[in-house]
Amino acid sequence: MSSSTKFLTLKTCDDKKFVLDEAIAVRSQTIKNMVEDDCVSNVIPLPNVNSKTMTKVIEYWKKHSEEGVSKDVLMDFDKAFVKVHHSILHALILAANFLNDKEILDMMCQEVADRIKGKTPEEIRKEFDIKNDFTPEEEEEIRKENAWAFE
Amino acid sequence: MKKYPEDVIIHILLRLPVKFILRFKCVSKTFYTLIQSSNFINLHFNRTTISTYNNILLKRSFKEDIQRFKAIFSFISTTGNDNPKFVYPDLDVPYTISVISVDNDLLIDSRHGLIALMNPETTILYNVSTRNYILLPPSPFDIPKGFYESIESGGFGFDSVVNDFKVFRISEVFKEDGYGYIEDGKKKVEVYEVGIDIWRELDHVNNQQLPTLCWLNSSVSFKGVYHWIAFFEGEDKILCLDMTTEIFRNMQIPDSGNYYNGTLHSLLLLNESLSLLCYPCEESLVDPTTSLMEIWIMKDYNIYESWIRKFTIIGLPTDSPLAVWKDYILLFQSKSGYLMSFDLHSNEIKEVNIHGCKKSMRAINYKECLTPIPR
Repeated sequence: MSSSTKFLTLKTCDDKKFVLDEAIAVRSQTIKNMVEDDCVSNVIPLPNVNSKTMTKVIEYWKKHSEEGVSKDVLMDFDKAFVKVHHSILHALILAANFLNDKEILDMMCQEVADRIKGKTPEEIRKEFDIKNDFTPEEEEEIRKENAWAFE
Repeated sequence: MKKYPEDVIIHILLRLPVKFILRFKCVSKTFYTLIQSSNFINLHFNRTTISTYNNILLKRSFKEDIQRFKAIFSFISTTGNDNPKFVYPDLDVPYTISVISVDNDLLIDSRHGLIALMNPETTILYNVSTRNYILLPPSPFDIPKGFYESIESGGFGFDSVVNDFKVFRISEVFKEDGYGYIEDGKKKVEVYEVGIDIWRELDHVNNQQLPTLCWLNSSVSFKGVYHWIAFFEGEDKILCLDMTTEIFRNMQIPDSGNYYNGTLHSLLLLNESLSLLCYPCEESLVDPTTSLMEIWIMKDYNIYESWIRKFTIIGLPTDSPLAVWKDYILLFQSKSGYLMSFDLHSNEIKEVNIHGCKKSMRAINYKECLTPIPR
């Protein structure tokens, strides 16, 4: 197999280049589609992903492509992988969404869900950068409808 | 910082317990609309991200004072090999204060998000995850003068063609002759369609095809059909009512058990298949070390030849099986009122520290969902 190994070059939005085994890069459904549709020239631009985030993604891809890694080792790796600062988590989700890597996306969304469980709506607005467009009366009405959920 | 696109928000919300999804409705108008949308409700109902049927909804009753009983719902879950524990505080069930009895309730899972708690007098439809419920209006149909009505059984399920929940009630209308014997007995089947809030009577019911049902005969909703254990001229069979066509038929059960003093049958769901529990009547439990209980599975629905015997259990002293949890833990209520779990693989039997009035417990597997009560 090694004789036929193909490499792809990925270019992030901050102009950093990553050379990667095609077999690994196609963990991204977006890249896989490009390869299958034969629309890959020399360099694949990733306008939505920065190099710092891409480094993390590739770290994940490589670990999960290694041969002979036990389930326990992978589980420990994943556990450590999601324990990142809020801003990195955020960037990783957007990258996984753009690259269409369901595995990373699922794992990261689960991590966000675990982190926001139990928070107040106000904290969620801050977390997701969302403006409250309800009037206080409207908000009170919705709270009343599901009062038990605020206990 | 860039905002998450809507599909990412959906991904995240789908992984939250219903309590927090409801709480986050008041984050913004976009969140509110998203969470209310039928698209999101369906995505949530069909999610596969968490082990879907890991929770048990337990109904049990307590004595409030000397004469009154009340029902509560308990939410039970377990992780790994831990003992079952409560995941939410208990919920008082409205309209269930009874002065008569505690062992007359049916707890029915529509398998479509809503459950029904029924006794011969009242029916409550519930989404226990969102805590929404309605009390059914009584059937408006009178019985002719001089006649009596005896309610035999009820059913509840989802008709996927009209996209609505239906409640069924089967009763016998009869007259008494001068000596108190029943004459002119006629079956009556009423249907309540939840979304349009209408009771109607089935007019194609043919007396011959309907056996006698008893209120507490085991029953289950599955694959758009309601199933009851019923006694047909000398043998138990499964009486089926198609939710959509509203036509009755019956299904043969495997030749099993044949215990000395009679065999009891219960329906339940196991491995996503209709299953049958066969066990001896209480009186024949003379020697618990030889009493058998069998669990049969109908692997291919409605194909008699596909019934297979999945488990044979020796010496399980129960006449009140409740449900099978996670496909291998049989739950039942002990004679002293405690919830018991029986591991079908290891045969280990455990008492769970949860108590209720004798014979008052009912249990179903449930998964959290946002299904609204239509109307």
